[in-house]
Amino acid sequence: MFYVEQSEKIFDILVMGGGHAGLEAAWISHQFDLKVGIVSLPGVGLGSAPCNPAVGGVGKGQVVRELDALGGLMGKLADRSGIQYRILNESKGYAVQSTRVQIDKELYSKVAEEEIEKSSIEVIRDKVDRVFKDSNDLFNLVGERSVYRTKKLVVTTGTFLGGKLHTGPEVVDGGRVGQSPSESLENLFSGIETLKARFKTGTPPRILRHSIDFSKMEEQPSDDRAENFHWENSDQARKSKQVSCYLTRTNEDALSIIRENREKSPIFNGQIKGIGPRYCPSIEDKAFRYLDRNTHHVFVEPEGLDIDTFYPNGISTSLPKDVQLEFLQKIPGLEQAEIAVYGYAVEYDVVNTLRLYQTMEHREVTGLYFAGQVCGTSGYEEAGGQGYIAGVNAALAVLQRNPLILDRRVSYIGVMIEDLVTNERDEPYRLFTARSENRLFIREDNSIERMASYRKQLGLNKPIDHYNDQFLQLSKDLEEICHKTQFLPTKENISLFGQLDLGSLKEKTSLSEVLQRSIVDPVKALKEVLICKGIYFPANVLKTVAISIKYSGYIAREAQDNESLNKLEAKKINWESLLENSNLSFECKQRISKIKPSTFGQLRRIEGIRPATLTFVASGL
Amino acid sequence: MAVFGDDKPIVAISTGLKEKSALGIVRVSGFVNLDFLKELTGNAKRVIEARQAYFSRFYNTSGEILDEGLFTFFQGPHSFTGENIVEFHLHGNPLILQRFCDYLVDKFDFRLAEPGEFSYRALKNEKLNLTQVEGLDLLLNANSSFGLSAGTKLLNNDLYRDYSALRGVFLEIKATIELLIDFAEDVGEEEAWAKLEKDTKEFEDLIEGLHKRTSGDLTKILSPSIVLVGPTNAGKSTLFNRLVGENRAIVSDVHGTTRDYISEYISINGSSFKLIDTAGLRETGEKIEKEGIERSLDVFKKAFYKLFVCNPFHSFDFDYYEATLKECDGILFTHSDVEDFESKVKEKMLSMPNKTFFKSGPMGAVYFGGPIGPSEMNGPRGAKDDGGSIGPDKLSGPMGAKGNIGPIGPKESGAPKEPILEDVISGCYEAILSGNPIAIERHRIEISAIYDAFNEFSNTYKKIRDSAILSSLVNRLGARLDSLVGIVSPQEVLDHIFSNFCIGK
Repeated sequence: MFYVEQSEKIFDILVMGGGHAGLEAAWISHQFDLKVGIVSLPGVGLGSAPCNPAVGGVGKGQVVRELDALGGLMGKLADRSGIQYRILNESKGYAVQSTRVQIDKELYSKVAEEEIEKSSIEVIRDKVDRVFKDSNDLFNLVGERSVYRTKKLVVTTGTFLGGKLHTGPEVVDGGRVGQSPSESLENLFSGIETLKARFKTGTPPRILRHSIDFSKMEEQPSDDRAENFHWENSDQARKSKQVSCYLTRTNEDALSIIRENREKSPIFNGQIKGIGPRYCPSIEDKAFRYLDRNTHHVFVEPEGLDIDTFYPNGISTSLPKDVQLEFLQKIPGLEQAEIAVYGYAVEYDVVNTLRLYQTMEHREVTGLYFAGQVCGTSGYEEAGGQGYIAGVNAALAVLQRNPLILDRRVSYIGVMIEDLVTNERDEPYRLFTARSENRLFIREDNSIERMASYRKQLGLNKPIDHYNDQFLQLSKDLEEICHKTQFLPTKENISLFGQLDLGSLKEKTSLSEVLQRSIVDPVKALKEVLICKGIYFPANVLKTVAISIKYSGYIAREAQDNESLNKLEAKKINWESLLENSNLSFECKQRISKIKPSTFGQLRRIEGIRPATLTFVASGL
Repeated sequence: MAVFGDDKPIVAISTGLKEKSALGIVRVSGFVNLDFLKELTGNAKRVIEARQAYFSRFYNTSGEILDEGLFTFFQGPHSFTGENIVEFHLHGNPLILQRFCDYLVDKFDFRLAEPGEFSYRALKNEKLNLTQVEGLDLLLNANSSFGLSAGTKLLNNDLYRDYSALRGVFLEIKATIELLIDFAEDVGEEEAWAKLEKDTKEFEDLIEGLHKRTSGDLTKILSPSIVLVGPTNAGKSTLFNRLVGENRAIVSDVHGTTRDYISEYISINGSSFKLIDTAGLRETGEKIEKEGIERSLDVFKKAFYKLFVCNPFHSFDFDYYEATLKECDGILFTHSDVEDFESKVKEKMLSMPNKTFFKSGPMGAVYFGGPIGPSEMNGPRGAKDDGGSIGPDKLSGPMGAKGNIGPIGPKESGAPKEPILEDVISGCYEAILSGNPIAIERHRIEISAIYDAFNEFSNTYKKIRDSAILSSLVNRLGARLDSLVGIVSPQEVLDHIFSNFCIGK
């Protein structure tokens, strides 16, 4: 062991890892005027995108906007580097619509570094080998160049802890291709419980642009109606040139090559033992688990404007290199494909998130926070959301202020954090809108409104607060207009209703009532009525108000329906006394003692808790 | 803590206490070891195996014999409650049983069980689900053979399986909608909508089936009554006595009779009915009689089968009785043996729709062994309160002859068969039972709520394809389903269930 000089400086918060979780953790905490640093491996860009080059998506778009409304960084970076925007679920109702943007991954990383550079956040390029807490209750991070001391430590090391890469029979230690791994979690933090099972994730091969025949694929151009993520970019003006993605499909020929090579697949021959996400299966999973299916979507996505590779989304694989090339070349448009980087699978260690508080602080080690993929989640947005919560709470803890906990009924970040700390992970966690009980309300369009009270609690007094206030005031004004504007069945109004497709007008009807009609598209209708009346409101305010009114009946009824359930959900339970009860089954008790549910709702969401147990507990409340 | 107190061992007399009987059973549940039993039997060395009956004497501390009898040990979790249980088969004198329980409470710190507490523990320990507990409740409290078999079925989990199937399809529907929202890019959208279409249809079939099984009034099904109405002196009480005489049931009405109507349980073709003779329906200024009529009307409304009894020789104000007649299932004419019967019968009555018409012929001395009078009535207790309206002098003629009230008269072979009262009534009842009605009121309410929630979903689904709204409606449906299978059962459900139990169940 060699000794290195100990830096005199004591950080308030150090973030270990400069990925999407780490960036958000550092970004929010530095806004409290604290001494914040990011420790990142040398040679790894900040905010790099080793998986698919996109930000947002169903449920995830909401997270990006929530982060943005809370003063986060991701939305800003995504807009700066966005090269193709899409509105997902456009035909399925406003509540479940989400924005997704393809990013130029080099540009994304570059803008991230610029933003951090402009801020007071210190970036430390070093490889940390050991972490311990000294007698002053400070974390000491022993790097190769120095020892770094900090009051709070946020660990966002992604797949780097105990990472192993698989490409066919080749196995390399590392968190991603070209990067050496971090020490395994156990070496760094003895006493931190990791899940027994390791998790697995994978990527597809990257294909060289000139070798792709796009004419055989379906072009998906950027949608100029999609709204930018960052609040300051509320116009639809793009910061970068827009390009297209392309859709092709796997076929029987491609899949039969995979099926013939079952023994060479690390996932199926036993070489990989980690658990992959069911919702993001590798092409091997698809080939072997769904034998009757011979066609799967493959989205061919550009990795950047000046990057020569495309990312074929939907065919992540860890097959040997020759097999990868062989099946790829059976896919329409990829017959001449040349691979720049082969696909691989990563196995990594995961922290047991049941040991974390809702602040992401570890229950056993005060001041130690975890966020991102190291917590068993997948996705940049999920990582960012956790990073924010860990960072903001580390900052609030330094300042000895109350923690910030987002309600699951109000935000997807809240849904995710509560799920993470109350449910055992048996596969990588991804946000779905289905995980929320309140998705008619947790939408992209009203994220500013939803986050308003949290911003207030933080009291950061930045321009965004001013923008928030203005937005809320305008929404309130417009809502009032909608409730107060009445249409009498005059000839003029009847013809107006006809013109705008608003349906019939037989009696006095308020604008709100019109917007609630099932046949009416509320956003379009409100926009047109306001134009007729010569009233102007910003587009995002108009949209939020129109959608809120449209769903208000359903939301109100849901709230009413859920009232008794919510009351029950929120009821505190004493899980320890449940363990003492000699009558609950062993399995039941095991789960309860792992998860330590503090409310009936948390108990109810524990998988495998039997109805009889719930009946019993509910009856005791 | 929960509905019931602590987790202490409980003890209760598990057999009826009303009368002295040869045997009585005392049951204890929830003890940790058998030390108390060894002490009680004065035999520390005996090896007690589970599910074996042992004969023994039971002693108190001072060595006196409390009783002698059998005991059987059931080791948890393989017992009714899931806890350790011992059943003592003792002599049936309530005093012995009570003294035995009291001794266990004093000496071994057992607690007397609250009503329903054994079942509650079974529920808590997942030996029974909520539906089964409801079935047990029905089984123990049923006073019709249908109630008994419905209770047994519930206990066997038949209905729970139907509900689980419904819930299974529901989960498919929910999953497909979630798939459409969260994985639209991964799956073909058309494929998902097609699956939704199929699952929705399947759910519709299942819920329609269940919903049909909730039609009708449950009280009419669980404790069906036959009510006799009609003008005073039409012959209702005579008919009542005859039906009771021929069909007397084992069960007797513990509530006794009132001055307003008399009732008795009868058994027809294996099913038990409560036969009710109402006070005559007629206008009266007398207050008491008026109240009696109101009460009769209430009984009338709740009746399973309503029979209007009518004497065609009496002057009859049709308009006054029209409303009542409309409600009735059958009309019985007395004195059909008299000449020119048909013409005497009011045409208006015969033309009423949806009625079964019965005729009774001469009822002579042969059958009753003498004139009918209050002193010889084989009717129910308290019949004398009826005001003596029954008597041969008041009947304008002899009444029905054979065992069954049925076809009497000149028409012989070749004529359509006239209906027989008992067969018609039991036929109606069988018809309802063949629809396999659901016998728990709570389930009926929940199923009807599920039915409504589903209809709202499927109507919306036909109109708009906003999957966020569909999902909201589906979640609503899910909450009702959860509540049906008892995943989240409000306190009242449990209170209601357990309050219906007698001690020791």
